[in-house]
Amino acid sequence: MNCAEARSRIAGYVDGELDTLGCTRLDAHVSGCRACQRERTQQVFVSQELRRELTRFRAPAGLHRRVRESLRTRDDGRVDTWLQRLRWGSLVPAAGVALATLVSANVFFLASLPSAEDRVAANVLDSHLRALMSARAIDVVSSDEHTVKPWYAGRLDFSPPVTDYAAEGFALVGGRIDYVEGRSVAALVYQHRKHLVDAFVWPSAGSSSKVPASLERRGYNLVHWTRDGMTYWLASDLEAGELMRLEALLASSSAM
Amino acid sequence: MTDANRAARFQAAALPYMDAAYNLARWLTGNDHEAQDVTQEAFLRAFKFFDGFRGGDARTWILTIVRNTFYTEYRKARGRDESTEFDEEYHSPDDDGIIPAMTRPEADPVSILSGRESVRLLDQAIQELPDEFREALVLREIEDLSYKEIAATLDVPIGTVMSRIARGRGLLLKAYKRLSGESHELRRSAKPNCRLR
Repeated sequence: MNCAEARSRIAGYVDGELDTLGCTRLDAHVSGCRACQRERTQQVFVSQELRRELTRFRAPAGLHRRVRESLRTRDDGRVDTWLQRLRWGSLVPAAGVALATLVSANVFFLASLPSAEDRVAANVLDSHLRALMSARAIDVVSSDEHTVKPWYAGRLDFSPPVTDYAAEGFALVGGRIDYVEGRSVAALVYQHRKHLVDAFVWPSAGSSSKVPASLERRGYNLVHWTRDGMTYWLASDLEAGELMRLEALLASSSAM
Repeated sequence: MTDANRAARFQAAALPYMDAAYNLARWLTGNDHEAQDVTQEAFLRAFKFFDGFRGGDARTWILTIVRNTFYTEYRKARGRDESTEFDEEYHSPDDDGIIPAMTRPEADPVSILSGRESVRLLDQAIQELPDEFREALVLREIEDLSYKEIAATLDVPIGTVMSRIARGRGLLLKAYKRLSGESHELRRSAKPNCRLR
């Protein structure tokens, strides 16, 4: 083995990537060559210094949160990728404007696909199930609408309608903030007999109203509608018919 | 596979490597803000392509996506001016001119002045290396990837990995010595802080 061959293998030797024969042959050369010996020592030193001293960056807590949120609010990451490009585009203002036009066109297109309902349904049900399984089903525990409604002020950029229907069988037990479709939404929690119902409310994207529709996903029932600029999704293991009763109650008070 | 199921599987497989992903992105971009953007985008891409991931080493898979995200999306959008972070000046082996890292606007003065200075200098020295050497060293020394894994991540032959690591260590030592010499001179300190010889 000559010096050139040895040099090309020293890193592999240091990193334990050479086989036994390769190591033996390199050892044989290095033991008789001071320059290669120095090179090997240097490689070991630098490697050790880097392992010991090089800063090992850890993902900030905020990043963990952002990634989790973006994953749970997207089915396939497609919309976020477009939004992301909008952000990259904004680094270059001129290109950004052109890109933003394209992006909004695409977002609109995606939102208008028939699968939008499925996507929201998956989001809503995930949020409902996560809340049921975790300790934080309810952030503000109160049956008093005058406690729950102000709690949302400052936490959301809109004011959700909050009404207790205990007399009608749907008792308000509290509320929380959740994430659906990439935005913060109000999740009001109602109890009907032993069942919990999450009522997700957020301002609708368009001005059009949608009549109530019910879906069944994984054994849970979902009812959703849009009225007076607000989109509502109910999620529960209650029967759809009972959810429609709650829908009627919510409709009656929002009309007031 | 239901969406929730898919999301849960993805989270279990990929999220444990968020630190590794961010660390690589941080060393590629050189700053926190852009590193966060690259990492987030990489995880979204990974989620999108998760169906194509057939088990195996999720860490290498994620790191590969982080790197690709950086080069394809990020570099492109950032434009050429800023992307040539390491210019030819560096490549002249005995350059005694101004040290770029000391004058670069993004060099964080707090990190230069505080903490263990040798560590800061080492960070600076590796930041000065051309990307191909820096990424190989970060994957090897921080992530402890094998040459085979690094080759897969960088999409180059194993022989190239070996020569980049060898050359990268040599360049790093040179940059470190130069930086510590400068810093030494600046502070008029009598005590050498170069731990590498």
